Amino acid sequence: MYRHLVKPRKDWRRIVEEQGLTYAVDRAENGSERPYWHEAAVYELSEEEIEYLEGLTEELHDMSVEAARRMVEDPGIMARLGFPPEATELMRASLLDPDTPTLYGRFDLAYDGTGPAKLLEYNADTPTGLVEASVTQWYWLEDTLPDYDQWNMLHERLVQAWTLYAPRVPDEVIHFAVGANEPNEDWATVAYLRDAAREAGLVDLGITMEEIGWHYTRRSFVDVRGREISTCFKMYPWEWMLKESFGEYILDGSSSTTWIEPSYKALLGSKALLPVMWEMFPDHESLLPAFFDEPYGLERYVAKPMYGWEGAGIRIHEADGALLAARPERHAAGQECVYQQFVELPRFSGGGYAVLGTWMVGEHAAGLGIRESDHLVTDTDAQFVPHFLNAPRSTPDQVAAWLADGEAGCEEQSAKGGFQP
Amino acid sequence: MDNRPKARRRSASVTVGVTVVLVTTLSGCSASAEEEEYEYGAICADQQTQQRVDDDDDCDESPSYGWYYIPVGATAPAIGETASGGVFSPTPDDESVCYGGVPREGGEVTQGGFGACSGSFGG
Repeated sequence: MYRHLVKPRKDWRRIVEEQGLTYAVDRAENGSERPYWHEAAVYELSEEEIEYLEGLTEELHDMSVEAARRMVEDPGIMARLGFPPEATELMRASLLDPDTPTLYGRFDLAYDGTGPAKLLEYNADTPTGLVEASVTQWYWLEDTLPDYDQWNMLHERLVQAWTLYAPRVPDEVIHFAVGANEPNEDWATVAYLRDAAREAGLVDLGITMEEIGWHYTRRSFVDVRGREISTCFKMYPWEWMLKESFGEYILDGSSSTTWIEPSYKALLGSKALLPVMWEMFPDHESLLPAFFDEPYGLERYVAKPMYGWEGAGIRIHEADGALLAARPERHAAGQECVYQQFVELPRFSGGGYAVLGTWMVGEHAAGLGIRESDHLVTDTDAQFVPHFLNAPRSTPDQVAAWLADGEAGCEEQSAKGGFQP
Repeated sequence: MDNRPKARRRSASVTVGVTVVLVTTLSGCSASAEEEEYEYGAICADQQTQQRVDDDDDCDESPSYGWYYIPVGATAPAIGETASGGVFSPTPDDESVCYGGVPREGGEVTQGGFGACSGSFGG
């Protein structure tokens, strides 16, 4: 794995914005125009490295789901997560039902090409960073390194996932919901997922979470036109939904809406996953020691709020408790923390601290996005740096074969009623 | 024996041109959605009897029919039933009215049960 300095494309900002990366430069917290998309550098990975990461991503996903099964059976852990008591049954049912649809998730890994990658967290419920990983960096590769490859089957896998799920969607209509006040990045991610759904033949209808209505006589969620919401992709965390007043209709079983991602993703997306996985797989080379309640003698550790994201509320401590680094708490204020052994993120020459985001789509590892940060904690100031795979471009036949392989696997799943391409 | 390479990379077969238009549209949506909160659902009703009629029955043209504005959260009648709890006039601001959004079978729809946590912090 290497980092190279390269010359950005002339007019790169216009290009990436026109390709849908509407947040290419608007991520800085202090209002300054710090580019989020950073194509003055590029990461190079080898085939062996990508094959390793691909295998690891799928393995970590399987381990995470196994951990979630443990979590729903442990009242102590469910209590820590702060969900209403009925949530346990809701999540257990969604976890055990082979028909439960799930679309995607993103692991954050520390990896420098040598030694095992280390799992930092799993963004399993409302992951973003998809447009740049799937679309922007692909077109960048086409423009700058057309003979090389990239670990990027995201678009194909997303369309495939929707295609396989389509026959089970009533009237082939899916609502796509976003919190009205949530950032541009959420809207762009959902717009892209709607594109993929439409390419798969589904009808996509947009709605804000705030516009979702509850119809008392029909006992169903409805959109602003009174149409029943039978299937809804929501870019909105489950821990919020279940706390809000309409969460009651989900928890008491009144609503029959199918939500994507499903409710058990709240378990995978919470930091409680980390100590549970460590307890279950303590010898796994890609897991960092992690604990509830206290750091239990970890030499240098990171305190992570249960439902933090984009670095909010993360603190890095020395063994004696001294604070090394901290990020503002924002939405994570007041949340219980888990404690994970600190691992230094790799820094390649001239670059920031790098985090690898490896994507799952359905049951497949599907691609990679790399973010760099000036801080030890990757946050909203991070920059996305494209990557290429040092290997000749895959042929269309190869790609078709890989995809068909996934579909065959899915047909077997479908026989059991599964939606996991 | 399976000779496939393991890594799943991809070819240039992808077309995502539609993304551009959609993102632009949606971002526009995002801005207006923040400002737009429906306060009324409009149904078409007979101005004499207050009986609800089909929204498609020339509500804007017919001398005897008019839009009847029911506050979000109040109960709406089904077609053929008598409307109450709302007004024919004054006409609320267009932005605050959802025309044609009330189910034909009536009933009560409330909104805003999701979204309370969103934006509850400064980030």
